[in-house]
Amino acid sequence: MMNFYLNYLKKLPHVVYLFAGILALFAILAPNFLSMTNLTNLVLQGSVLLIISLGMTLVMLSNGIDLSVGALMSLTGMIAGFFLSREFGLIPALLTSILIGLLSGYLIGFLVARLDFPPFIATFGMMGIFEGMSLFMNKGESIYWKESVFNFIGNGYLLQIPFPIWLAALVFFIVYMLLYKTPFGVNVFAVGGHEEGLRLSGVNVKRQKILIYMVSGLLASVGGLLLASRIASGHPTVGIGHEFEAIASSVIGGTSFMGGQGGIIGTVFGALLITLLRNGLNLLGFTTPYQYCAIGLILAVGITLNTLYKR
Amino acid sequence: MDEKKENLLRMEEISKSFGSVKAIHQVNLELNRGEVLGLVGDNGAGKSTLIKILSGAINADEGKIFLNGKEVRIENPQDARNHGIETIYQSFALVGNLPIYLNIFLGRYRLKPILGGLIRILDEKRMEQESWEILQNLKIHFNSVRERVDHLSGGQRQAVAIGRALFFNPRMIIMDEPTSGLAVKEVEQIHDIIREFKKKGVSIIFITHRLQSIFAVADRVVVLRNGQNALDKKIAETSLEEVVRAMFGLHVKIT
Repeated sequence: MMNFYLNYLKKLPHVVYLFAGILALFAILAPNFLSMTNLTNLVLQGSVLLIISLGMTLVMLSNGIDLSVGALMSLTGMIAGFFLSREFGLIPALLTSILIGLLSGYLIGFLVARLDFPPFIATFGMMGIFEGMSLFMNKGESIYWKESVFNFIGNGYLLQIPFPIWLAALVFFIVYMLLYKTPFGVNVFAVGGHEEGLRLSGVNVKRQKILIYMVSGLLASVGGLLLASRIASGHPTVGIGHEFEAIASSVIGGTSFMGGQGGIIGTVFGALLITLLRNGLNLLGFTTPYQYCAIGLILAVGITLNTLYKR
Repeated sequence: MDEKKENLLRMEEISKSFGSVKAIHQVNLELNRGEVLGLVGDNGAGKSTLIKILSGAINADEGKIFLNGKEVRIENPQDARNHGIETIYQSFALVGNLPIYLNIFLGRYRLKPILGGLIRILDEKRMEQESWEILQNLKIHFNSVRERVDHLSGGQRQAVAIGRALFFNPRMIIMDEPTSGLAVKEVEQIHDIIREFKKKGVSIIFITHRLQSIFAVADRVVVLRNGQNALDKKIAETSLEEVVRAMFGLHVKIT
């Protein structure tokens, strides 16, 4: 039995140890850190990053990258705000935002798969377009709305657990099934591992890539909606920088830039680790500049660990 | 037997250019049922181009392909597979970061319904089991079908590629350099596997520049030189010397 657990431990991504270590460090240093309120708060804060990081991991596993995620989050928040502020109702706001997410993903996928744009360039360009559109929507101003059911998404509770945690758990479950239990998931790893081999096996690789970017776009819009709901407004630049944190979560979690290596369990811990650093440093009185440095440092440590203990 | 009935594949006047370079020019190729055909030629003679056209990896500029006397169009790898043509590529076309069983079922996964048939997910148990059985038949040793392909030896990889081709009862298998980079013992194993296919009535096109392999297992040899047909003879009616002469277009004395 002991052996079973040992083997299981060996299989876990290295980020889990890093996470546990830092968790212990903060538990000793920061009073109240281990309180249920703070731990719940931590996962709550991490839920947005977790959702978009899962999409980023899929893209990176297929040897791509999606820099447009943050800007797309801003845009979906603004679009939701556009509908909610005019009181068009909750459903149109949600549906339109989700649709925009899927459409953006399709567009990026089209550029990458059909027109052979390097993913970096395609998504970098789309990042600019999305950011411009969000600024354009209300002349650079935020959009506010009256109290709405929409705000429940980010602030409500279900069975005494914050709704965003439920949402993040649901998204994780769906992405987990998609990646590890379906042909789509195998094809994600195969595109990253040996794209030509997959093509010669009769799989439509271009279509597969488009689908991957659509999942990323969809998750970015879900993350954008969650974020907008939490701050109860649409803000044209609120998403900026999230793409880099999502990349950092994936990389710390053991997903390689070369494609085909890694997985989403590591990403969950990567996203939580970044949130943990923010939260713990906050409790200890370190301000944002320190937090940025700490995230950069942990990224370096994470990559080093993954390189040293490559399986 | 009637000559027409025996014929499985006929490629007629196939041409393909890459830019201004004529890779192959009006090449003909025939394959009979249950026959092992050795396709040889120097580097750049057009062997790979010809079989890539047959397997749907690239498209010909001109020419016709007949299967059982009927003209067919092969525009992508899936078309070829639908016609019962399986290809084992030189570069293996295996995905290194996936386990053996997923490579064997790559692109045609076994699925099982869950939630009362609402959705279908991968049936990993079945794929593992069936992969294990097919690899056992090839008599090459494996520890587990869950092993990643990039951890395997050259011979094991070739066996996985062959297992993949075998799975779907193909009429014809194309093998591009199946013995290159293998140890002597492994080459013998591949020869055995080819003879086994032949017994089962599968036709094989076998590309190599290891001429000993051709004389060991092939029934007929086709030589290409500079993208054109240079020789087409039964193994029993030709010699190593004649094949080499056709390959290089000069008189070489083999001792």
